Amino acid sequence: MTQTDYDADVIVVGSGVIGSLAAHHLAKNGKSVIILEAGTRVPRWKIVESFRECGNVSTDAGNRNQPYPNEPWAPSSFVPDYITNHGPIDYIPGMLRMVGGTTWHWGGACWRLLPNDFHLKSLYGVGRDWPISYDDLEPFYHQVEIEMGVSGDDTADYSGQNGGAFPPRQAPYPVRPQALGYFSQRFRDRVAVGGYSFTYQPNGRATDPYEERPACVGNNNCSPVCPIGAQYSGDRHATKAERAGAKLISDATVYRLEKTPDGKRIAAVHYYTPDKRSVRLTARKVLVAAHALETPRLMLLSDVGNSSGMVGRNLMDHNAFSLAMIADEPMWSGRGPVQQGDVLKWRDGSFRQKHGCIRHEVGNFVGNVQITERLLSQGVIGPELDEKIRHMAARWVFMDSNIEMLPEPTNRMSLSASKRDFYGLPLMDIYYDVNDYARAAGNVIREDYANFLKLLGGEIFDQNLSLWENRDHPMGTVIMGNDPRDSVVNHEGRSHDHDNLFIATTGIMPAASVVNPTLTGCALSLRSASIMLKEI
Amino acid sequence: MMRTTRRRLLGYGVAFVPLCLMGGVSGPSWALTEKEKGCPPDFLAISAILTASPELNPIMAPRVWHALITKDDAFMARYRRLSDEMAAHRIRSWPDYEASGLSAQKEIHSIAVAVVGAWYLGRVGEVLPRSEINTPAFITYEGALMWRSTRDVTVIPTYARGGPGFWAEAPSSVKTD
Repeated sequence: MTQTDYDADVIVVGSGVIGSLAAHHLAKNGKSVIILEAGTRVPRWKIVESFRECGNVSTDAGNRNQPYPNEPWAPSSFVPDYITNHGPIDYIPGMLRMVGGTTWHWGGACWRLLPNDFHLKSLYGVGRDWPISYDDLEPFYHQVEIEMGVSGDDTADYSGQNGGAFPPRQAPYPVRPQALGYFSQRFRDRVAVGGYSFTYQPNGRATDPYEERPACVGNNNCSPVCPIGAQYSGDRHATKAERAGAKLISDATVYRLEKTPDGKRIAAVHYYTPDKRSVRLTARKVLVAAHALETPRLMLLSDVGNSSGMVGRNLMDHNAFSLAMIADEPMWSGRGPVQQGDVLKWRDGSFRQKHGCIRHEVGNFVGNVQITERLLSQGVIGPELDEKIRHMAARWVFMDSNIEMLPEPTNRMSLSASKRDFYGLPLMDIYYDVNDYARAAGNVIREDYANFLKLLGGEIFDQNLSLWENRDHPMGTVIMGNDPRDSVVNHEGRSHDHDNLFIATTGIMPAASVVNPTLTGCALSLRSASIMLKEI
Repeated sequence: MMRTTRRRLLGYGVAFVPLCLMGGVSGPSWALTEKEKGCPPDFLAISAILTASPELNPIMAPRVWHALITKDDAFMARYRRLSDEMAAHRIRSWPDYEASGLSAQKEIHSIAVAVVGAWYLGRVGEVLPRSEINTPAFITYEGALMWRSTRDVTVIPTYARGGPGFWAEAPSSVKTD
């Protein structure tokens, strides 16, 4: 017998930007939508106050989860035992569980992938190809950029080859670029001498007022929280989805996707309330958008969608190094937003046959915290302390790098055999390593850092060339592909195993490129939502 | 404003007294918990000398003290050593401290640095990037002294200093910085 009564047309699991964009799109097109969010809802002003009073985070250091809710039933990722590492490299990304998700504390970078990123195996003989092309995703990139109010440079060659505008776009960015700060101008001019181009970073900050967001005025705290909401965050579309008619239930921890007796579809979604009451809801379709780690965890808990054995595997990030220096001239980092541009020299090319591509992100932070800590550690006090803080802050340059990784089944999250959450459910184990493809790119970074130091007359303040810092860009864990034997979802984001189950997270990306994956995750989510719309 | 006087430095030792007995110091009731209302009577004066800052906010002193003793069980005794040494050397100003030779005494100077660090960083304890527990003792954010030497050019993050795009112009001080 065919079921005809449902609690909703679509249940969306997760109210982060990826889930909320899809929920909004479905709701505004007349579908009934329920959003289930494990975490709670907190207004921005409380987070700003929490940031100022927590003492364990600054705009460029510390625990970025700290100012945010951390409920027993929805812990943030740095709670002990939430993730247990077993591999050679620790992997615990910053991650929030609350209405709006982790884009509460992102840097706002909104990158498109390049056409070549979709054909890594075909072009360079490594990794995997996507089952779709850039052209398939471009309309959804465009749509997401409008939804989020993305600012970008319409003349930039984002492939880093100093050519014409690239990649192709059907329309200009909806928001004009922000003015380049004096710091960015000086950085650009100094490194250009060495053949390094500085490219404006596409971002989700409002150059001018955009919808309900004010223009950015350079509070220099984009992460862990933009105090005025000029920078886009996922709560915007959670609210917009509600206004369009979606029902958002917070503090609802989904713990099971129930299969139909034949196993071909998802019959229901089960969640727990904080008082450990279980609730069962049904929908025609289910969209799981619960982050690249919690999504595979839920699937493994439910024994869902894993005929390939790939759920949780192929974990990728952009692990790399970082450099802080004191330059030879006052450039005054820290005026304006915390990041404005990147060096994209190694974003694409035949070198990808041998090593991953590289992106150097140039920070624009107020450096006072780290500088003061350093000077105090040297015993500097008295009037000299102020003098040196100013001297060094004026010359502060910080950059961190990103490296493309390849999907490897051995890099994986799995269910913990011993650690349990608030509801008694298994938490996560992670095994993670950086392979030779990425390590070879690390050698290029070493050379670049030496060049940057020369070009800027820099004195090393702190240089990490050995610890593989992750960038909180998890990908690959519910990987997309054409072959059900080695992938979890198809090109639509639909489970190979369950016709009415869609997965929307950066975890479905089968190739990592080297740019922040949020915009691509969002475009994929809207693409899945458009497919679902046609079927309901 | 509290003046740095020899009497303040030498007259009280470090016995705890309610802050209000120091005279001229009061603040909103929400600013301090009961536990935070005490600090050694010479703590503000010594802090002012070591930070070269006669304008230190007296309301903040008990909070700074409380943070220091919260994160270091031995701090009270350590501070007594610093206080005694400064009294013995008749230190009334930063130049006095410099001239005293105490900065060359590693243990004594480390106590001075701890006091200064608390005022400058607005917290005591190391920032822990991946921890929610054993985090620093918080004192103040915008009141941390580390911001003061750059406030004419950059912002205390989360606060603003100009309208959109102000950052495109070179800071007026750039030629002399």
